[in-house]
Amino acid sequence: MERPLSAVWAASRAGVRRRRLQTVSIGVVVALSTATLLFGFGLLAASNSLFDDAFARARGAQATAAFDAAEVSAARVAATARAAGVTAAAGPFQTAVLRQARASAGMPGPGQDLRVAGRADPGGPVDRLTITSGRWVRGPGEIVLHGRPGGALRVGGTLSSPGLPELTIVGFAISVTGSADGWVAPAQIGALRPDGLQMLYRFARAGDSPQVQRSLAEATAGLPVTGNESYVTVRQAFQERFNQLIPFITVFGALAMAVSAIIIGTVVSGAVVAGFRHIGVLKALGFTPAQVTAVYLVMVMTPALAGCAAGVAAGHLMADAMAENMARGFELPSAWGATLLLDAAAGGCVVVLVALAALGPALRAGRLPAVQAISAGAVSRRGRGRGPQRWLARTRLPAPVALGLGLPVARPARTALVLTALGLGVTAATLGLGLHQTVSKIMTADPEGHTSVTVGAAPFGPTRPDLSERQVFTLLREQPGTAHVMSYDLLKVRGAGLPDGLTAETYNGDYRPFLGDNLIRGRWFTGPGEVVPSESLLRLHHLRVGDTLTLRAEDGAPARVRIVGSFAQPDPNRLMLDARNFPDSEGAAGLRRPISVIVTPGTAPADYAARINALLSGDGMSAKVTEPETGGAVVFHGLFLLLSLIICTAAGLGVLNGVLLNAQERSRDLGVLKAVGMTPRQVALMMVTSMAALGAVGAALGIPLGVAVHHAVVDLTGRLTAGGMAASWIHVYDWWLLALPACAGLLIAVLGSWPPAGRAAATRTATVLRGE
Amino acid sequence: MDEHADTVVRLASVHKTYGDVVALGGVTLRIRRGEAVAVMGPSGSGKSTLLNMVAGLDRPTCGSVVVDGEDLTGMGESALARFRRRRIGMVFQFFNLLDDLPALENVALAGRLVGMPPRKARARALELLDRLGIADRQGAYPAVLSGGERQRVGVARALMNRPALLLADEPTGALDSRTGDQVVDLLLDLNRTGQTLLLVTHDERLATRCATRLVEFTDGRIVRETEPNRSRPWSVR
Repeated sequence: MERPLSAVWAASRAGVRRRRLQTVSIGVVVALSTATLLFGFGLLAASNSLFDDAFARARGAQATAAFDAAEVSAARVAATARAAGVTAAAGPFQTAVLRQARASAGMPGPGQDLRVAGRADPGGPVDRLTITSGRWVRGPGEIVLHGRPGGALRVGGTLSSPGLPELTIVGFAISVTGSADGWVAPAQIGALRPDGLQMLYRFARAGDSPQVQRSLAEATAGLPVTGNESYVTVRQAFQERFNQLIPFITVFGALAMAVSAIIIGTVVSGAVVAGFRHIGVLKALGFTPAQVTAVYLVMVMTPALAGCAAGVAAGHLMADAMAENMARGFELPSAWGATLLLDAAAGGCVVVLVALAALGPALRAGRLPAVQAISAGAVSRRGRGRGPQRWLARTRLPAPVALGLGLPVARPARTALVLTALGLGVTAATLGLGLHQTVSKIMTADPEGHTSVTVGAAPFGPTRPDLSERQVFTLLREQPGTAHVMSYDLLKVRGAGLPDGLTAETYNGDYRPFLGDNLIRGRWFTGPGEVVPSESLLRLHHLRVGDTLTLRAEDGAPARVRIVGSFAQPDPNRLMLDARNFPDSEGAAGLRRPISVIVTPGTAPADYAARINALLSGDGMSAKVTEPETGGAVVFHGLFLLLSLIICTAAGLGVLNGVLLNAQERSRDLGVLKAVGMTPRQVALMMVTSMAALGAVGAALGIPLGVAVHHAVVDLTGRLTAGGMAASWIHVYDWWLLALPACAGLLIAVLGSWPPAGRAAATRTATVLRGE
Repeated sequence: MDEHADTVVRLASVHKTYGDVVALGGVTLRIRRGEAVAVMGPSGSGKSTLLNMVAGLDRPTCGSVVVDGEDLTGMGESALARFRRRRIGMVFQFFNLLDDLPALENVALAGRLVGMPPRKARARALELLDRLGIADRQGAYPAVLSGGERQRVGVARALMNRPALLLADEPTGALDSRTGDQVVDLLLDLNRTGQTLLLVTHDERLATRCATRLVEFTDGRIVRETEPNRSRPWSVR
């Protein structure tokens, strides 16, 4: 009895076993591509809904209301949970403020005020806390802090506040809306002099800020609310930090997926083409065209499915780790990585892609006449691109190099695919390096990013230092290691023809070196009479460089200032100018503005700060090293690095596969070359040269493309977000930054081609020729 | 004449096994300069293995192989490749030309491997093609050459570096009888001008026409050596 399926299966299994390297290559490429695809999906999903997902999982509070405990009873506040429109509520929790709290272990710098709540457990219907380290409080004497351990704040440490009992830190937890800075047991809060009550709400209607305010007003009608916070404000603050970076992630994720798809297409179609002689044998045995097609599909799908499963597992883990990192970077309790739906989507996409990539060549294999298939390799081929090969053979280049350079032109389609993979690899590396630079520049663009040491009033010193700003400037400038000194403050101002609520960043002293490279138009101000507003302010009010504004601080004289430039900033109420425009606001009597210092090259900021502390502590001042808030920069740098590596590895596998196919197809030629005296090293050199040439071309194409994509993405982000993008954030490429991807192109090509080239060089000549 | 200088190939008790299969079972053979030796035997008798040993494409399990004064037994892959490119010329049954290079470049390539400048290599290749009567086909690619023309290009490539020994593995096996005869004539002419020849063939007619000595193989051993009725070469190079 005929058993065609078992024959197909037997032939496929034999093919898989016979071509182990090819099988492993397909499995690895598919695994890597699936992992990349799933990682990309997870990245895009997380970047679109990072906050919302975390908020939903934690059942975050849509509104947090604070009440004065002296004016309203806990019972009345608790009754608001049953008000109309409230779907869930938690509290009331007693609250207290730990003033000038500091870690007893000796946390340097000033202490800080912490708002703590008395809460029995981290769960509940609203604002479920995620414990990131340690455990929840079990009784008096313990505290759980918001966030994660860091510096002197660690599990087991203690926290003290003047006049209050010392508390042991037993854990860290995160509230998605940051409902408190710490939590103690309800039995403990009484000893901390509580003065408030906190209630957390979720409402039936809370789509936007006005809805939240209306719902809250209805719920707390008749009660004296001393403060409230809407989740919309928290979400906006998060989006301000995060959304600027979403386009970068999107483009990079999409690029990774495109490379994966191309590599799969190359490897799978190549695997089928490489087995033409096998096809002839099958047909000679009596396999029908449909059976031959089936054999090839099964041969490819077997390792592909195994690779896909491994890739889904790896991608899921990677996406989870990435989401966890992002949550950590943005102080969220948690984030979704890959879901089962994403797993299925990525796995399904890859399987379909593999099947489509294999189907064309497999159908071609089925239709191939047996005689033509069985004679593949034994008869002379009528090849392509022979003109260039002939020309190269006549040059003075060493024979292996000349022959190697000629190989790519013999198979233009395969060369195009390998070149695409290499080009995209280089594009990804170029784009990744550029985005890394851009994000770094964005994160350190403000003056704080350029400041080494900050000098200000000591937290437990006299009410105000006796020294004036000018005296402190003079003292600091006399110190060795001081390069530049300035003071900076925020001032509420009003502008004629502009809405209320403008915030002026006023600078005094030697401020020019502190101003970042976030200038979008014009130039920085150089003295009084000039102003640099945010780009969003200019756009919103249709102002231009050269226009004049009249600004007035509270109770101060008006100042006429000319717009000389604009800086990148999404806040449409921001402007920067010299503090001398508002002489009344200067701290002439007693220091009140913090002072920033840039130290000279070679001076350690920590040593400098210690010296200044020793010098000025008697005057009620302290100095501390400035640690710029890099926020999620580390997360993004990690992402760019990881994706660049994945893309480059995938490109390297594409190269490996290309050389593998070339070596298989040209095994007879390689045998002949060795028979006429080519050494194994020369054979390897020939194969590597063929890909190194493509690596060079890939770099030549990929670098300009990467730069162009980077510029387009950053520029577009600037247009889409109100803040704009500074020219220096767009034009980030120095020659050395371009040299790296150029080397990457060659490196990918050489590393990818080395293993199969070495294998080809080691093939026994006698075996190859006997096979003929 | 000095016996060493007169000997091109010396095999002493050469054994070759592939797993349990004995391909050569203690072969001792000496080929003198200018000789044309034909190795005959049924399929699987060890003829091709012997050829591979002499060409340095395979190594003996034990015994020694000395070709043109060089002991191949201890040589590494690279040294064997360098030895091959200068001392050995190989002619294959299926020609084994590089499909992407025209006839002239196929021949010149062997010269390029020994460091010959491109112009000089092409001049030498053209001289050989002319000598073999296919100079007019110098620009043609293998796919458009006839079987006989391809084999002539193969012979020209083998002669490019003036090898001490020309190895031919079934050189007429893929040719029709008329073209095969032409190739035999070519080999005869080469031998008559002093080229040492080691020929592996099934074809008794070819062997007796071409060879000055017949070596018959069975099961990896030499079972008979005869001298057919062919005149010795007129001169030794």
